[in-house]
Amino acid sequence: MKAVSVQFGFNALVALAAFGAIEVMPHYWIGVIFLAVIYAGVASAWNLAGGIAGTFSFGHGLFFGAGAYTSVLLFTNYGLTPWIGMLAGALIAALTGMAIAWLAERCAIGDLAFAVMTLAIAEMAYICIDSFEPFGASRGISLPPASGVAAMQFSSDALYLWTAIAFLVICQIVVAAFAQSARGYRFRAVRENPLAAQAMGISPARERMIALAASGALTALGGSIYAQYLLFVDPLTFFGPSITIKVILFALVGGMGTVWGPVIGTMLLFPLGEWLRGLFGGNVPGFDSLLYGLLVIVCILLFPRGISGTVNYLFRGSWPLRSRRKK
Amino acid sequence: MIGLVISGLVQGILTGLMLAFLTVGMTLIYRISRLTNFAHGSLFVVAMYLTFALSRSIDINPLLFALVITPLMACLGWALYWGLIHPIRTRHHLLAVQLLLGLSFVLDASILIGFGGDLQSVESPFNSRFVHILGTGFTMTTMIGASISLVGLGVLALAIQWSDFGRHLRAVANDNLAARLAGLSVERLEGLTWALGVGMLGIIAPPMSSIVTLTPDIGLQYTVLSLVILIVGGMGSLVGTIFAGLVVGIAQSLGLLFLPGSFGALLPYALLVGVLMLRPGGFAALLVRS
Repeated sequence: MKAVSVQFGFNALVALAAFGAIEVMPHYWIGVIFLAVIYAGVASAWNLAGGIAGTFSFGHGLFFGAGAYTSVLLFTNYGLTPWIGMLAGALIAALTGMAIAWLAERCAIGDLAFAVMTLAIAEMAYICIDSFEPFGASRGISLPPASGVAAMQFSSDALYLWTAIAFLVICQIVVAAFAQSARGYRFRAVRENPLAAQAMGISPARERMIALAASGALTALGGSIYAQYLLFVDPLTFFGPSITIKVILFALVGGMGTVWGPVIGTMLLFPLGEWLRGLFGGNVPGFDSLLYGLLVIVCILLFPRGISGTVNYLFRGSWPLRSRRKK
Repeated sequence: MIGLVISGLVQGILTGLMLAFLTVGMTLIYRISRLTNFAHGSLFVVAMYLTFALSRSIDINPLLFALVITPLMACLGWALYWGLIHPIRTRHHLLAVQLLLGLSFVLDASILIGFGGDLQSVESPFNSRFVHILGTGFTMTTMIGASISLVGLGVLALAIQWSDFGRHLRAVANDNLAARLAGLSVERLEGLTWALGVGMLGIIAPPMSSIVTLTPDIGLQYTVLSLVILIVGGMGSLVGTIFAGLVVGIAQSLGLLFLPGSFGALLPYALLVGVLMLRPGGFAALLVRS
């Protein structure tokens, strides 16, 4: 538990540093940092399933969209506050994740088939929502303006950013707690060798169901907060494949399977992409995806462990402390 | 009603042949180098935009551009293998998936930067000529695309069955280590397979580019469609892939005719999930088991 409290302390420190920065930040960058924080939380959530437990999902857009749509629909139809609505969304996403992992285990499909199956399920959800009239089809749903903390609609963007940071902190606490507990070791055992894990008395099916459920629930929370920020949901933004792929690339550059890697990767890549888009946006559209793609290729060829993984690898053991004393 | 079903079936078979030919490149690469080419769709879109660029500058029938584009794409596939895939081929296969996904980002963005985001189409004189099959008219382009696919698949099957190159490929696919011990250069064969698999896209791209509307972001759709066919066909079986291509083509065209709205687009995905649930081995498992 000591390591968990260290993580928590680090989180608090980052938050304090952020507090000063947000007060003086221009409006545009608050929006960018807000999105980066949301992406970081989702990347971290994806990493819990895809990086730590080896449940390589291409369908996290499904969870993201499920969270957003659940809280928005509950608010517009029944007036339920999004603070509770997002928990309902998280529950739905967790159950969906569990069902997907169960189906995959039951049919004993491989890694690759699992990735493509999650992609197919997410695409099916996207197409269904896109032509389902009660949910606004492809036009999406706009939230009625109802300013107030109860409706999770704030007057300033800084407050949205704080909500997003709280979400990221929750994600990191959950992921760190998973990664450092016995369950985290079981996740890694299942990732490395399911057969050997089974021989040790670990049930791969159960571990994968738990990993995907937790990961889906956290992703759904991020979707709800993002929907509140936009005051609008539509299928392409929330269910489309682009968010999943971006999140996977961020997690990869940061370092898959590490607790902080996905957050570091997102925090570096996303603002960089936005800055470049602002720099070249007018005359060169698509420049930021070109950059993402090139970075990912370079990253895999030069340091496939990612930023965080490479740092861990270089500082493994205690060589900075290794003394000159003769052996 | 019956007429509609029949025309849907014929349309489905014609599209299915082209889809099968599109996917066979991916199947070959999967069989030989055990990697899934997640940039397949984007490479295909690159080939279609090459056709578009050539057709704007040179005024001949766009189908002839295949003669130029196929060797170009083959070189690209070969370079892709030696530049990007060979360094990481012993690592986890999902790492290569991510690398190729990154590559598809680069390709899509390059097309967007080079050609802009507008809808484009390639004009072909064959688009205005029609062939009638069982009472329904199909454009000459569709017919030629489907026949090229059919002939191409036949030639490929013969080559793999009877040529030395085909024997080598089958040896590597069956047992990588044994093939290496028997004196085959596995790396060289894998490189040639990438060249073949990507080069085949250059053959089918000119007819397809006059059938579909081009935008820079359709690469991922073609990748996913090919993946669906690859998995439904049974992960690396050529015959399974051809069957799966036909089934997906028919499902698509019948779905568009009979299902409301965009629900027809659901069918390939539903087919994939259904097949994975009931027969994880895909069509190949059905063929081999009997």
